[in-house]
Amino acid sequence: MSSITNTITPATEAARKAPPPSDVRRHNLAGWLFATPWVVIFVVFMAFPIIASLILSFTDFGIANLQDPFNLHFIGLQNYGRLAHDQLFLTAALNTIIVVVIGVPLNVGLALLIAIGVNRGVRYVRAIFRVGYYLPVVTSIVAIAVVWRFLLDPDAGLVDNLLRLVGLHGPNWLGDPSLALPSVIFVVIWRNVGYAMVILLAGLQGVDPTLYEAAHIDGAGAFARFRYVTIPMMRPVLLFVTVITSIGFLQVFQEPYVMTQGGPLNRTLTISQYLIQQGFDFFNQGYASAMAYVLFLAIVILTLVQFRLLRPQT
Amino acid sequence: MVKKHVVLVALLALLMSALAACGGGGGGGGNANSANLTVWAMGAEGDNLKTLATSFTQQNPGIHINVQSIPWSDAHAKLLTAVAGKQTPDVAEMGTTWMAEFAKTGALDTPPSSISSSQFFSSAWSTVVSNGTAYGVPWYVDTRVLYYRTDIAQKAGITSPPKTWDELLADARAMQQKGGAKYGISLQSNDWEEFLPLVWQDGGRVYNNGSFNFNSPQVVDALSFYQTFFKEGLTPTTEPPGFDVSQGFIQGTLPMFISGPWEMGLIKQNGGAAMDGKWAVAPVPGKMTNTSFIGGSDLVVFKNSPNRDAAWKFVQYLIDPSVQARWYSIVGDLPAVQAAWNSGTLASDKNLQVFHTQLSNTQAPPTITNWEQIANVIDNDLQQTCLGKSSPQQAAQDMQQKASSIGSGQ
Repeated sequence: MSSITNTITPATEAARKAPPPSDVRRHNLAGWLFATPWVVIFVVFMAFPIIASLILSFTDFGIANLQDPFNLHFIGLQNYGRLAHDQLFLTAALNTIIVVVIGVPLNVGLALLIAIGVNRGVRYVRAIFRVGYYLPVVTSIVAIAVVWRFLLDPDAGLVDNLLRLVGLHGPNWLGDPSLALPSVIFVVIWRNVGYAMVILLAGLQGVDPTLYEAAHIDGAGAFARFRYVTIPMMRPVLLFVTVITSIGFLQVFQEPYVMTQGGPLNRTLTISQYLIQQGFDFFNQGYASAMAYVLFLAIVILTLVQFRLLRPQT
Repeated sequence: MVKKHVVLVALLALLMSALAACGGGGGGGGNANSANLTVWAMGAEGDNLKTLATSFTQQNPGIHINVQSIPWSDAHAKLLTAVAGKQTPDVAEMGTTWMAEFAKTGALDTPPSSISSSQFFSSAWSTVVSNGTAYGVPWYVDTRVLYYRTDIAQKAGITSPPKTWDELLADARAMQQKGGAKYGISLQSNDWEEFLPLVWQDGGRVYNNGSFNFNSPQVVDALSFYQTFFKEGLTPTTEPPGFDVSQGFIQGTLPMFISGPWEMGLIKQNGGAAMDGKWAVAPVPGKMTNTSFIGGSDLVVFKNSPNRDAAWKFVQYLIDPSVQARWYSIVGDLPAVQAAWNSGTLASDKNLQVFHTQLSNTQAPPTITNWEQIANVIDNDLQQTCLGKSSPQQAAQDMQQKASSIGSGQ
């Protein structure tokens, strides 16, 4: 193929490989100029605040610093030490871990099942199903949470009223301390499953059908084809979906904030909620920054672990 | 999400460092007869204050007032940002429990000596005082009284509203058992504003002269009493956010509750004529005293304002007894000035009389910088107790330990 199309003379090829130095500089300059709007926005609104809050996390920055911002004291790692003994933070951390450990596998697993179903089971109404599952993703989280709060209401809610029709006494989904977190996780998954489903569906459609055909000829059953063809081929997509879902679930905020405000008994208090409370209700911004960095570290570590476990095997 | 907060936290820092340089002192108080004032007010006050501002400008043609309405949910953050950026209005409405916090920022002006503290309800005045200095004036007040269904009470054989803790408990039991109501009363498992008055009624104080006093017999006593209603199933255990007690009250499932004047309007609005004559209000039951909670809003003038004299003039207009009475007729806010209660509906309405009586027997939470955090501790431990996860003794100890480690912030 190359012998046919290669009509470039050796001279022009050399020129393309090593343009004169002044050209490089000019191109670089032009490149940076094009990138300037983004770079400026990134530095002002991302890099600067991220670094500033890292610095804040080592200070006692609080309400008194409002008028006098530079009258703050560097207190080393005290904010981080305080976190380790803060019962509410530990509760929030535990709740967040539960959301991730239970929610992420359920979310990804369910999304995979739905994706397979939509991909193969329903041939003609596929678009309707795809839209149906994806709709919650593009709807306002607050609206969804408010609606679910009404649906799960023990007196007037649809869920308990349906249970009553079949003679069951439905529980107080959001008011019972042991059921509140599972209910919140359910709503979080209900909202997020469509996103994972759409990505996985694209992945499934990218798997070469000849692989299934070959496996089928070799006598592989439906489960074996799923286990030895689908899963290995889907690894990169699964990794992506798992990482994105985990990052989202670690920062879950709106659903519990709207549905339970962290209650009852702080059973649905997440790190993000506690962070906002400390940073903006109580204005302990130094302490809140430390919390943000702990959460950031947790996200980095979890992501690295997932990359390691789910990396493509060669 | 978190990235966004990191950004917010740091943007604030950026804003402050950028504006720190161009701050500068307020200088004199400006011309008292000629100014353009910016006034921030929240909720219904923000929507209706223009009416009073127009009347004020008719009397003081040189002073023009621009009222900006701010939703309550944003107000705290917006005021803090304004102080940080030194972009404060001239006058602002301020939630009573925020006073100490804003006094500490050093942004508030002290009222002129011509404003006498004795014209207000004394507990209302106490909300503007932080570390012995006043930083504003009370504007309107609210207090909590007992609402009860007279028809259900009658069915349960109750002839007069409960006056003591024991009677309250007995009446709640009777309304549930004999009155046919699903519950006896509606209490919130995590509302310090509802719980703290019980400590006061028992003669206790949770904060005194720089130290917390949660681990006291009065707090334990109040917790045990409160817990009883939950243990016996006399009240629902938890309520969803945005819960509206007037619905259950009208349906008859929640025949008693303790709340503020705003519920009167809700009951009339949601219940209509069918509720006429079926309910009444009474002062809160007590033990040693019948103390209730006082809330409401204060008015503050910012030090940064170049028009402080004109600003205080407007504030003085708003606390004139006749203007306070007119303000009640416009938005239904109860006057903080005692003299305003002497005429019109405020003097003649039977329900309002109950609020008036209750107002002279009220207390405000401690005006300390860290109160919002302390209140959060109370909410948490109160719920632990109500849901039976900790004993009143444990909860009191836990409150004491956590409150001490947070500190008053003074």
